[in-house]
Amino acid sequence: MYNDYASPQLKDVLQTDGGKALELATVDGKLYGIPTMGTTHNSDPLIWLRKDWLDKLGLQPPKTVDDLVKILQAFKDQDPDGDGKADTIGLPGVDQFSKTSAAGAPAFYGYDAIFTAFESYTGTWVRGSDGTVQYGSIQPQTKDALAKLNEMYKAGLIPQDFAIMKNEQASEQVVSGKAGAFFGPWWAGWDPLTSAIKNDPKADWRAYALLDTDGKSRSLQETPIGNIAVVKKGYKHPEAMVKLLNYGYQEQLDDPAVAGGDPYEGMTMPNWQTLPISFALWRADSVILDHNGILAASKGEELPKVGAATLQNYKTQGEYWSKGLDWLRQHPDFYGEPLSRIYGVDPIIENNTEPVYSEFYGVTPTMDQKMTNLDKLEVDSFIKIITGEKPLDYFDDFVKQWKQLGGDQITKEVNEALSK
Amino acid sequence: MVRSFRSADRIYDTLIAVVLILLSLSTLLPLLHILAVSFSDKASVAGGMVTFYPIHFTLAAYRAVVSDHAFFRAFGISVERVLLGGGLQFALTILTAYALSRPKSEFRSRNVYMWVLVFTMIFSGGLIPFYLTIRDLHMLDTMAALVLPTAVPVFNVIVLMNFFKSLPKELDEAALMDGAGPWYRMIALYVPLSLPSIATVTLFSVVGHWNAFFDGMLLMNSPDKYPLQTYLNQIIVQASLPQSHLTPDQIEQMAKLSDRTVNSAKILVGLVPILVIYPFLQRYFVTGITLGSIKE
Amino acid sequence: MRNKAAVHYHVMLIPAIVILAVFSIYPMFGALIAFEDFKPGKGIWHSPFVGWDNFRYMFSLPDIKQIFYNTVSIAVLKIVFTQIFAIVFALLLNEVRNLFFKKTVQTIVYLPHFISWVLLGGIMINLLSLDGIVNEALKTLGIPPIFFLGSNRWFPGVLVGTHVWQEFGFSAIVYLAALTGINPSLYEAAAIDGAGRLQRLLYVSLPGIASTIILLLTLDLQNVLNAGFEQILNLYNPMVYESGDIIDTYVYRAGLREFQYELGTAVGLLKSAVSFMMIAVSYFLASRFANYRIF
Repeated sequence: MYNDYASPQLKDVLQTDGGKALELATVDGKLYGIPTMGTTHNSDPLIWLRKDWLDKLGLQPPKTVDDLVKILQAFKDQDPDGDGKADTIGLPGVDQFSKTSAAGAPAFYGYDAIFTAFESYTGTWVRGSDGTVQYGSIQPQTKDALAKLNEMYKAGLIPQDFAIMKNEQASEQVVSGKAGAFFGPWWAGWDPLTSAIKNDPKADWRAYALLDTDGKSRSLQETPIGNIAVVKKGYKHPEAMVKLLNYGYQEQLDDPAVAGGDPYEGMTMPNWQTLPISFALWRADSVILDHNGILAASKGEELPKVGAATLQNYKTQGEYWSKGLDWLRQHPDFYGEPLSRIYGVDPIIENNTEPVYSEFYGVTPTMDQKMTNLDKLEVDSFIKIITGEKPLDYFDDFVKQWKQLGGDQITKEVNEALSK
Repeated sequence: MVRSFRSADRIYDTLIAVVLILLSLSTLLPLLHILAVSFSDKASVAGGMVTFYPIHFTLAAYRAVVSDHAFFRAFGISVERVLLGGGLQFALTILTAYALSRPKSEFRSRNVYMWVLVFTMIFSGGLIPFYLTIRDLHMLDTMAALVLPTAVPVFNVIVLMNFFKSLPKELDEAALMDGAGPWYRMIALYVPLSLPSIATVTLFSVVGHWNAFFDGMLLMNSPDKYPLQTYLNQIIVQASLPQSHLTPDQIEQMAKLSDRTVNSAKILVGLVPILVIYPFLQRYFVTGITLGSIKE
Repeated sequence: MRNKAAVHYHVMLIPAIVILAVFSIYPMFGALIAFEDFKPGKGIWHSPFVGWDNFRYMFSLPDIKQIFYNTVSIAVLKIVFTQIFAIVFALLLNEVRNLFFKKTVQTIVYLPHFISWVLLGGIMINLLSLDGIVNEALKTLGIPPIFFLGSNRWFPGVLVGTHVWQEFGFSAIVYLAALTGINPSLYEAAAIDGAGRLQRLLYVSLPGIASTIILLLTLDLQNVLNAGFEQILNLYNPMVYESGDIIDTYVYRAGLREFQYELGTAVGLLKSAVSFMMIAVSYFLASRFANYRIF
C-alpha cells in the first residue's frame, strides 16, 4: 500500500538514509509503518579546537588521538590565553562519556571519538569475525581505549570529576574560555559556540575528525529510526495516512504552494509539530546536502534541488558565510548556523567519515530485564578504570561479570532475532 | 505580659537573631543568584560567570517570557483557576474539616468518612485511568478539569481538622447552651478562631493551584487553555529532549530557548503572585487566640 | 438533638464525597493495569490478565534490594531532618518580637520551595563540584576537597541536605500557625513559676505543638517511598547510582525502552500499599502511646 500511494518525492526522501529506516520498519517482508529516519552524520563526534590557540603554540591540527593528547597537554600547560594564570584545561567532562545501549547517539562532550578511534563501539552490536553479533563494549579494543583515557586522566587532561558533570557544566568550560577543545557534533556552532564567541570574539573555532589506527575516519550513528506512523488494524482508509504524509512532505521539504498553501505561515512554533500527523520527516542526508547548498550559495554557484524554504535558507546562510569569519564573530547571532554548516561539516566530508551502525536495534526479553543493570555495571567499571581506582586488567573481570549477569543470554537472543 | 529584660534574655535574643539571619542568607543567596542570572545575557550565564549580580544587564529573558499574548492569556487562566479552585478548596476544606472534627458521640459515621478520605490520599489508580475519567466526563480542555479533581485537598483537610479538634470543648458546650446549631457554630465560632490554620491551608491551596503544570499538560489539548506554568514549561524546550534525532529547527530552538536566563526569569515571574499573597495571609498567622468567652 | 446534628454533618460532607468518588475512587479501578499485560489498544478492561507477574518482574530486577534500601533510607532521613529543622526554626522564630524581622525571615525562608530542580540542580552542581565554592572554602580551612556529588558516602547527605534547605520553610509555616494557637496565659503561668526563656520554650511551646508534629510526621510518612525523583534525576550521575538510585529513577531508566505502564502502575500500587501500612502503624502507635487520635 505504501508503494501505491506514496508520492515519488516521499519515497525519495525515505531512501536518503540508504533505506535503513524502512528496513527496520519491515518485518517478514511487510512494511509495518512509515518511519522517520535518523539523520546521517548528525551526531558524529568531532573535535572542536581553538585554532588561534593552536597557532599561538605552534601546533598542527590533530589527526590521531596521540596528536590530540599532545595538543591538550599544551593547552593545559602553556597558557594559551596569555593571561598568566593556569586556568586553561584539556577536555571538559560529562557524565555520559561513552555510549551505552540506552543512548540513542553519542553524547555531546562524550569521549566516544576516542573509543571509536580504537574501533571500540560501545553500546553497539557489532559483527565479529566469526560471523556472530557481539556487544561492542566488551571487545578487547575497549581496553585499549580505556587505557588511553586513563593516561589522559592521570595527566590531568580530563577533569577529575568528569563523571558528575552535566551538559551544562561542560558547556560552561567552553563558553568561559577555560576549555579550548571539546568533542561535539557538527552543530556545535549554535551551542555552545555562539555564547563562547560572545564572550571571546577572538576565538577561532574549527572542527576536526580523528582518524582510527588504520587511518580511516568512522563514527557511530544515531539510531536510524525514530517514530513510526502506523494505522490501527482494520482502519478503513489506511491510504489516508500515506496521503497525509505526502502532504507533510510537500509542506515541509518541498513547495507549500503545491500542497495548497502553508496554513501555519508566520507562526513561531515549528511547523511539523502542528501537522495532522506530527512527523519529523527530514532528509537523512540533510547534513551534507545543506552544507553543499550553503557553500554553493556563498560562492554564487548552482544550488541543489530542494524545497523553497530550504533554498531560501541556503541563500541567507550563504550570504552570511561570504561575509567572512570576522564579520560572523562580530555578529554572534548569525554565527552559529554558517559556522556549523561549513566548518562543522567539512571534516566529515574531507575524511569521508564512514557511518557505523549497530547490527541490532530491537529489544529482547532479557534485555528488558537486565540491560539497565548491565549498562550500570559498564559505566561504573569504565569510570573506575579511567580514574585508576581499578587497574586496567579489571576490564577482564568486567567482561566476565557482564556475560554472567545476563550478557551472554542477551547476545544469544540478539543473534536468534537476527537470524529469523 | 511579664517580660523581664535580664541580660540572659538579651543574649538569647541576639543568638536567635544571628542564627535566623544566617539561615535567611543561606536561603536568599541562591535566590539572588537566580535573580542575577535572569537579568544577565545568556553568554555570561553559560560561561558560569554570574554570581550575585547581573553581567551585561539585559531584559532579554523577561522579554522572551512576556513577549506573547499567549503569556498573558496563560497568566489569566492561572489567576482564574486560583480563584475558582482556591475558592472551592477553601469552602470544601472548612466544611469537610469541621464535620470530621466532631466527636464520635455526636457523629457516629465520622470514622468511616475519615478512612475514606485517607484512603483516597494514599491510593491512586495512576495517570491513565485519571485521564480516561476526565475524558469520559467530557471535561478535557475545560477549566473544570483543573479545578474539580483537586477540590478536596485531603492533606489540608486533615491539618485544619486537627486544629478544630484542638479548640476546647467548652466552646461547643457554651454555644449549645445558647441554642446554636452546627452551621452557626462553624461559621460564627470555629472559623474566626482558626484563622492561622485557615490562612495556612489557604496559602497551600493558592500555591498549589498557581504552581500546577502537569494537569494542564495532561488534560488540556489546546495551548490557549494552558495555565501559566504549563505554558512556561512548553515554551522552554525541556532539557530532557534526547540529543539524537534533532531536526535542524529543533537544534536552533534548543540553542535559543533552553537557557538558564529564561528559566530563571520564569521562576521569578511565577514567584511574584506568591510574594504578593503571602504577606497578606501572614497577618493571620500572627493572631493569637483569645478565649475571653470562656472562664474556667 | 444529637441525631439532628449528625444529619447536618452528613450534609456538609456530601460535596467532598462526591468529588472524591468521581475523581479519586473511580480512577482507582485503573490500578488493574498493574495486574495486566496492558495493551493501550485494548484498554484497561480488555487487556490480558497476568496476575502477579508484573510484581514478580519488579522484584526480580537486579539490585532491587539496594534500590529499596536507598529509597527508604533517603526518604526517612529527609522526613526526619526536615521536620527537626522546621520545628527548631519555628520555635526560634516564634521568640522574635520584632514583627517586621519575623515576617521577612519567614517569607525569605519559604521561597526555595518554588525553585524547580532543573535550575537548582545546575546551581548545586556548581557549588559542590571539586572546584566549586564549598570545596574552595574547605581548602582555606585546610581540609582536602570532598567529592560531594561523586562519592557514595556523601551523596545521600547532599540529597537530604539540599532537600531540607528547600523544604523546611514550607513545613515551618504549619508549625508557626500552631504556635500562635498556644494560649498566651500558659506562658504567663510558666514565667510566674520562674521558668526562663529556654524552659518556656521546652515546656510550653514544644508540647503545644506536639500534636502538630505527630500529625505532620504521619502525613509525611506516606511519602516514605517517594524519595525525590526530580531532585535526584537532576543531581545524580553514574558514579552515585549505587547510593542514589531510588525506585523511581531506576524505573525511569528501565522504562526508556518501552512505555512500561504496567511496571509504573505496579510500582505505584506497591508504594501506595506501603504508605497505607505506614500510616496505619503510626496511627496505632500514636493512639496507644500518646493517647492521640491523629484522625
